[in-house]
Amino acid sequence: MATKLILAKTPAEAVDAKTSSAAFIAGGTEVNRLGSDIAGEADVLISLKKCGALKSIERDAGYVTVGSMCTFQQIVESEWIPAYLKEAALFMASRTKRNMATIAGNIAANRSDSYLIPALTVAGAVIELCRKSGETVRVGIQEYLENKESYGNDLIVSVTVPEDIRLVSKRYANTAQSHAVLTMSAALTEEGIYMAGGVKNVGQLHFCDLEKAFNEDPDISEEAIIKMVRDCTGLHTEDDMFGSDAYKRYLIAVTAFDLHRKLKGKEV
Amino acid sequence: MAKQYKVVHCTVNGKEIEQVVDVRSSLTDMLRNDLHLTSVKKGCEVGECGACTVIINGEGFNSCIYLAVWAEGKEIWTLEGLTGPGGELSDIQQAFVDEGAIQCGFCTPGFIMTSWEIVNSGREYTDDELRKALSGHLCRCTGYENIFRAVKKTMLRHLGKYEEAELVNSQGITEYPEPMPFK
Amino acid sequence: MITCTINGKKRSFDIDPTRRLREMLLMNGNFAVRDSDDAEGFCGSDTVIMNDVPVFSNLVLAGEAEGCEIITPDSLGDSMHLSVVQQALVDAGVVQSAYNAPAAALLMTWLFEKNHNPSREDVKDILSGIFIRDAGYEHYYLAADLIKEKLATGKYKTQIAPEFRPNLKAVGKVMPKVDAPQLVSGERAFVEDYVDDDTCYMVVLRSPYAHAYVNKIDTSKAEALPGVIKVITAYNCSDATYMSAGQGNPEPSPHDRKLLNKKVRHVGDRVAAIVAETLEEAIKARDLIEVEYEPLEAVFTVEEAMAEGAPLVHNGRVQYNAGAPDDLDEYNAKLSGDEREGKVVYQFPLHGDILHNVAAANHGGIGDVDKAFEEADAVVEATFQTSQIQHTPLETHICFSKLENGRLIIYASTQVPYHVRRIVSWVTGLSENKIHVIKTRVGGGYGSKQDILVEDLTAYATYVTGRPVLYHNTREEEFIANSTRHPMRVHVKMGGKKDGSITGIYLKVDANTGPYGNHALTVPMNSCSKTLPLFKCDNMKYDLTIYYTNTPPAGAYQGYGTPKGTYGLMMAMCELADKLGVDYKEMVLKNHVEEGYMLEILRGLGEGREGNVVPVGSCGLREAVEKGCEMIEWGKREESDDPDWKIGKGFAMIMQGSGLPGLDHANAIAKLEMDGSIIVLSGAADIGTGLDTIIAKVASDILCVPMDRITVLSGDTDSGAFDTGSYASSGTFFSGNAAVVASTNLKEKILDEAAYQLGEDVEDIEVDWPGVARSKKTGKELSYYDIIHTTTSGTGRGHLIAPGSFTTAASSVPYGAHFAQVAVNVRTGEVKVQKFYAIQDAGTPINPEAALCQMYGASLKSIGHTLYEDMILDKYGRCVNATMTDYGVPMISEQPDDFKAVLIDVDDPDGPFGAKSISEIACNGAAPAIGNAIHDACGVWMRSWPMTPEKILRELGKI
Repeated sequence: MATKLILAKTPAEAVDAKTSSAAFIAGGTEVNRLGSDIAGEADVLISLKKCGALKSIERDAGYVTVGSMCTFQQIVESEWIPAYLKEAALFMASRTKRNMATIAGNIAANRSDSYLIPALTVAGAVIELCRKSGETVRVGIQEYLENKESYGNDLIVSVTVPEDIRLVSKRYANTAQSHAVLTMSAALTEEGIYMAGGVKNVGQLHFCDLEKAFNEDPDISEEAIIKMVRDCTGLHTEDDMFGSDAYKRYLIAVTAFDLHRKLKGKEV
Repeated sequence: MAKQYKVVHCTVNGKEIEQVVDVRSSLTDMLRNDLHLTSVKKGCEVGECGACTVIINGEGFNSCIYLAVWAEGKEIWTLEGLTGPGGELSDIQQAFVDEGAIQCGFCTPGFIMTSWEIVNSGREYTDDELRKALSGHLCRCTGYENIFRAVKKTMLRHLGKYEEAELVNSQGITEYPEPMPFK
Repeated sequence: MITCTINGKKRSFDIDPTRRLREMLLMNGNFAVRDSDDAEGFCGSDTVIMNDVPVFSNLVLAGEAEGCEIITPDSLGDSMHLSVVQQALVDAGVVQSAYNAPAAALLMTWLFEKNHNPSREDVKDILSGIFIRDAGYEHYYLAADLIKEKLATGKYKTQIAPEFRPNLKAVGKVMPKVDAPQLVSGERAFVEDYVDDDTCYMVVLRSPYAHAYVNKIDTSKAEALPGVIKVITAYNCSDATYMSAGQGNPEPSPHDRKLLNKKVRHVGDRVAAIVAETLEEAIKARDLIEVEYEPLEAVFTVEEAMAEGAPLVHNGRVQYNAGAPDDLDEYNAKLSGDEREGKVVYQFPLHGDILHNVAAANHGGIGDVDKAFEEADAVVEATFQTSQIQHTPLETHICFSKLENGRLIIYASTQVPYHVRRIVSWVTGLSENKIHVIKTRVGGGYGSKQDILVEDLTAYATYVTGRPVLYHNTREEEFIANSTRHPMRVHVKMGGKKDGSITGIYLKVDANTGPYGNHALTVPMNSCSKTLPLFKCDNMKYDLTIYYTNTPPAGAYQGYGTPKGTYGLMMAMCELADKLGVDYKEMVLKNHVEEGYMLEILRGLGEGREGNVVPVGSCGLREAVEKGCEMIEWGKREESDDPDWKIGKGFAMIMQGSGLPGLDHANAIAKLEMDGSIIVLSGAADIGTGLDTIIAKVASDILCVPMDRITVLSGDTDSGAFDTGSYASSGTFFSGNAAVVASTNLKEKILDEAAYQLGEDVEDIEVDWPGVARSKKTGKELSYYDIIHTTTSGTGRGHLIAPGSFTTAASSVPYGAHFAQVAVNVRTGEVKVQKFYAIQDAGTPINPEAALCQMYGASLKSIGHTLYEDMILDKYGRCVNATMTDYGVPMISEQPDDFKAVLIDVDDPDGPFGAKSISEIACNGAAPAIGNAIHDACGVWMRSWPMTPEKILRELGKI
């Protein structure tokens, strides 16, 4: 149970205060939420709400850099943010929640039903981190999420995404406000297709086999994709309250097929 | 002017408490507003009516003219502390009920606290002393007679004088029966 | 010290900065910043504006408010000075149970401050963070239009709702609900607003087992904690056996529980109650209680409960207060008789058989169904399964009780104040004059507040401790330890002829009542008694069996069994029409009942007694069907641009009741006050539906007194007179009619007194607006002020007070038809409800705008039941989705794009000014309308709730 609150005014101040028993708190929609274990485990909470420096949105040479404390609603409203990221931000159906939740908070929480991570992943988002030493490092979002432990005391300062990229996403949830069973994004670049998605209770996945299949045969049939995902041994979906294993696999396959189909026909 | 606050430690109705108070606030304010002991009434707030009487270290005080900060280390009792664990009335409270000593009831808690001090003092007050001891309390409804009787009877019972208590008449006077002639 | 600005005033707080902002606002007295999801960031009751941005104050830390500007809903305007936005919400009729109305008003105000001309999308966006369960969202759009018009031109142009009965001034007219200003402005209204400062908190230790004996409870560590007042367990509490249903006495439900039982029967069942001076202390103490459980095998479905050798949920002893069978002793000898089991007491026989987990049963019918099926050209037979769903009122169950001069004072959020008083009397042993139940405003009931789920224990805790005690359910407790809709397996067999006529209907209902038998018989009974009377059919049969299981308890839920019977029957009829090659609409028109049709089927469908056989009364059913078919363009095929999305249409006939004839009873007392104004004391329990307004309106039209000179005081057991309560759609019909009788009686007294004072004959006197009595002969006039002034003078004949009671054998049935157009994605199984039309005959709609909002609210709720809502239990009987987010209630995003509620004008001969019930019925149509539309779209019959994408994909053979 946290007993101390630090209102950090600068990223450096926030990082300075960070220890293993302290937690950053951004928008508060995850840390302060019912059932959150973060607020329960940390002794010290470091609020970033007063860090004005983290709220900027900048645009440079085909890339947009979004300050870590930018809220979902600011993303929706900003004229510089590309449409694919706005679409992902709008997956959070509650306006009031969008007013609070932040881009970096959603990344750091790394939930399997994350709104933004699939789109940011296939967009090749780069995260800038502020370290205790004062240095800043830039890492790809996938690298950050895969080695999150080693960045535990670092503060996300910003997220940089490309402006022009063919990217489509799809989210499935019981109601608009429910946790998603599947959020999936696909992007098409010169190197080929990228696909990533969050599967509830499984995690954030990078669908390499699907990418390979589409890259090798852009006209691959839906049936083949469905069979491929159904038989995939590397996918660890299970029956739970969000649906059966069979349903989730089918949904991943159909969605992959749809996203690929859309990308092929999509103009940037 | 900035408000000044101070922490007061004291015992209220047998329970140790620690309370932050404005240094200017009265004990009445602390008991009523912070501790929600609403038996402590605000009647005049100048120490004239006795409705705010509480027992501090065994002695009755008008809590409205007693600063909360003076309560540091003191043992305080209010009417709430007199009742039993299930809300049972104490004998002095019951006597007020039985003798019709309660009408609107606003003065009652203060009266009872003073009475409680009297009946637990272990001494027998004369009628005059009793009236004097109760004189710091204002009552507009009852005309005091029933209150006087309630206190007197309870005092006598506390002293083991049960039969004598039954002899107190409606005017509060002990009516001794004619001595029985020896057979 | 935290310093911030709240509603323009600078404030400082000495509070732990890691507490929530909402707690700080409560310290400041901003109690209208409420919590209904335990800080889940879902319902939006805790919305405030912080630095010009709407946020959930439960998700902000107090310390983060340092230097911030905060605006709370109570700053917008008070009940005598409503802002334009607040007034528009009131006028549009959306302020119903209204727990979230202040927060919604705050958001709308913020929206209009930014943009004087917001679009429908803007309104949808700003309300996306607010959960509205009562009125739906449709009239919020209307309110936005009203605000725009008011801001632009100073007045409204849009018609809020159609008006009825031009000869009357109040009844049938659009007028603010009498309690709406209080509710929208966030004044004291709900139980939580009346809690005294020195109140103790009660929390309940709940069973982790679905079925277990509680052999020992060690409370010593808990009781040793400072601040702990008392721990109540089965080993130190009242031994009274009763039940929680909140029905009329004697109840048609078995008495099978005590305050705390020595056997727990579901995960979440009460084990101990802890009373302490603070909530934190109570919770800490709860964790220190050591319980020795003896786990037993459990049953969770009707299939498991009926299996040979199944564990018995009740295995003690059966007792009858009337009508005991001759072999009762032999029967009891077969039961374990274990003292820890307690007993099951039937007030009269309900055909229960606890040796087979049967809580109650009923069988009956008319004609010969077997023969009817033989004669049919086609027969369909199908089984439909409904899910366990929760009411999710925004205000979770709450009770505050205290002692005042030897009386128990109970502030309750209840539909049944008088039943609460009776049950508390039973468990405490106090006589009813020593108990005062005050129903406050109720933040959503929907049936869940008919059950007496918290008042019994809270009042008992005050009774044994002498302390003021507050109990407030968490949202999780609302799911696991409350009441829910009975899951039912409805088996339908229906036969028909090629001409579309139905020859026979057989309905077999196996219902799951959970661990206790509250509403065990009557809810499943309604799945027959409020469905079969829709059909002109001579051969109908039903078999109802209700099983005890170890799931979270079931109870009353708006619709009360009817939605499930309607679902099975209407889907089966659609399937039969398909099979016969007849258009479903034609089949409906051929088979529905009409005014005067004698309903023989009702004979066996009383509430555990013989039912009243009556003819169909006023009936707008055909008009509703025709109107809806025209609106939705029945028979016209819609195509989507996207080949994956298929579009279909469906509808269902619906009916309900208007209270329970022969069982319900309502009273009111009308008083003429000293200046000629009126106070009506009513036994009614307005739970946000507008019942107090109905009472005021009928009094207004009868006594010719304007609405602002009439006050209704209701739901207070001290000041009112007995009323069975607000359930079974009885409010308007029973409590409304009692007010008609009382007002009429007062009018007669006024006429009599006026005749006396004028020295004329009473036949020559009439009353007229605005509260005068006039002689038709001489033209002389006395105002009500003159009359009452004289009667209450030193030589007067007394205060004019008139009681009125209402009972009836008449049964006025509301009818209707609900229509849906859906789009189904045949590759992903997703469903969108594109259109939903609710067409209803409610007799005279006394509050037309409120009536529409109730239709929208109930329709949206039942769309949720059909598509999203489902309590999921794991193999141990634990509900795994007991949060708002995971449970899946519909919000503004789920609302159909084209949503319409239409009132059919029917004048009922028995209702108050022709009114029938309105809201409950509106829960009945969505499942079959949507189910039939899904079939129309993609050819599959959805036979279980909720109709999820996964289930649709399975029916389509995709997985």
